Amino acid sequence: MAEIALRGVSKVFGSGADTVAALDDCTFTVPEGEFVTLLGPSGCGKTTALDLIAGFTRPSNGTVSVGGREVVRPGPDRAVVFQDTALFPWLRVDDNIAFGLRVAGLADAAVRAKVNELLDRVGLREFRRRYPAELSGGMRQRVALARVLALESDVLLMDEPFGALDAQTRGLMQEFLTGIWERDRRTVLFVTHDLDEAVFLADRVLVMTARPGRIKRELVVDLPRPRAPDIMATPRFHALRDEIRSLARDEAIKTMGAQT
Amino acid sequence: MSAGGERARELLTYLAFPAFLILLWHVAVVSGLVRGQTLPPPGEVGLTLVDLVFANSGAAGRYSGDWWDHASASAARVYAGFALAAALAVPVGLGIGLSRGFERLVDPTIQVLRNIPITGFLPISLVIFGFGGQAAVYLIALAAFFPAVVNTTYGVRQIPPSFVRSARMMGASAPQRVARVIVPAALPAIFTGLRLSMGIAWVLVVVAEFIGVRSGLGYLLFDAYQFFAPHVMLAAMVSIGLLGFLSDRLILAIRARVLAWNRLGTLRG
Repeated sequence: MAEIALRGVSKVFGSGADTVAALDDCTFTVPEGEFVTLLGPSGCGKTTALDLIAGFTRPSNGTVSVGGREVVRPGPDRAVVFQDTALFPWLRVDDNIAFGLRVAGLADAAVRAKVNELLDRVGLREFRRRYPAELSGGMRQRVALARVLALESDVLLMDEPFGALDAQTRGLMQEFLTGIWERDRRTVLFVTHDLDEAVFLADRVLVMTARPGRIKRELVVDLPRPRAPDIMATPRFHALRDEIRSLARDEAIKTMGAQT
Repeated sequence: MSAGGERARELLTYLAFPAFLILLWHVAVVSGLVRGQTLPPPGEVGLTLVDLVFANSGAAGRYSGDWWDHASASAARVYAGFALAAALAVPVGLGIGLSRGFERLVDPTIQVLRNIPITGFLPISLVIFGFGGQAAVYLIALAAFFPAVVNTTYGVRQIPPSFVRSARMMGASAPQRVARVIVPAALPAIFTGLRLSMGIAWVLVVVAEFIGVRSGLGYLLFDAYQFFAPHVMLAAMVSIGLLGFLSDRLILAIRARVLAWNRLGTLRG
């Protein structure tokens, strides 16, 4: 069981007069084995929700649980892919991928076999001895993905991992991620503010309100799998995206209104 | 242009400015702009230095051939003081950077002591450690401690939080995080601190050898002053400058080996 559940979760930052409510009474579930995207305007608390599930921060109120157990700290059972990759610049590609395996005390031969398998899976075998600074943005995100796939966690949390990539690479990475996920169907929560990305990747889209964030609507994406980019040209895809767009637009307007 | 030609041009660029300064010095002396009795010309200082080292011309007079003893005495004090400082400063800096509690405990004291000129500690360290070189080592250690501790602390503080988060997410324990993430990530700043420490160590060894010892380039410098031998004074000063420079190059060479990733990072932006 690796279902993610937030129940009445609030998160307040700061103290005294400077408090900011990032989440307010936020409740949602990511069913086991589903790919769920969390969509909302910038600053709505998407990342805050992800940090709570990862265990980097604790909720001010409510409960966060994964697989029925309350989240109290980070751990390799909940892998995270960061927007800035958070790859270690002093480690070469293969050593970055091996990090989680080594701290778990896996024997060298086993680490090597596993790293080789992952390098092949993300297509980076010939770049194994490069440093992250020597790779393109898309390649770095593939390393970051390989690094968390090594953990073999049931849950994968992704915080706008393709947000800094150009449109072309971004499309390829979405396709690549879909292919990887369709093989072993882990439970994924993927934070994004990109409508096409949210619909293309997901079994289910959660649309958040402007800050303080809570879930405004939940939509099931009934597009067939396996998915290829040409699905974005189908009427069903357009219908879903347009529906989500009008929901998201209202919240984006509220965010802008709150700022002016 | 060939690689050799490129290299020669590079070397020429490095040497151009010191050559210009030496020329300026020479012209100032021979033109009578500065009295030749007070300031010896660079050629004389050069000959003195060679005689100090090789005892070949007698240009250094009673100090002829003394260079090795003095240089090795100074270098031994510098490296002993530097090693002591580094061995203390790096763990303390890591502690301050990692723990608010430890920071509150020791940081204010460090920041106050840091502001007392180290030369001010010389008389009291002679009182405590006595004459005979020990005081010099502790003084160098004290002076070299501060740049290393401040830069190590900074090195820890500038680590992106996502590095620590990703290490925790991958299951690294607290000691594993320190050894595998905090130290490597802080290492460029630690090296910066160690370079500054080495520099200050060479400054301090000269001052520390003015009093209480009868060896070292600082002692040579001060003794030459008392016997009015400005050519020997300048030769001693040049020696200190060159040895300090070589020590820095040594640290840079170690850094280049240990931090191959960091050099790449800076070159490629």
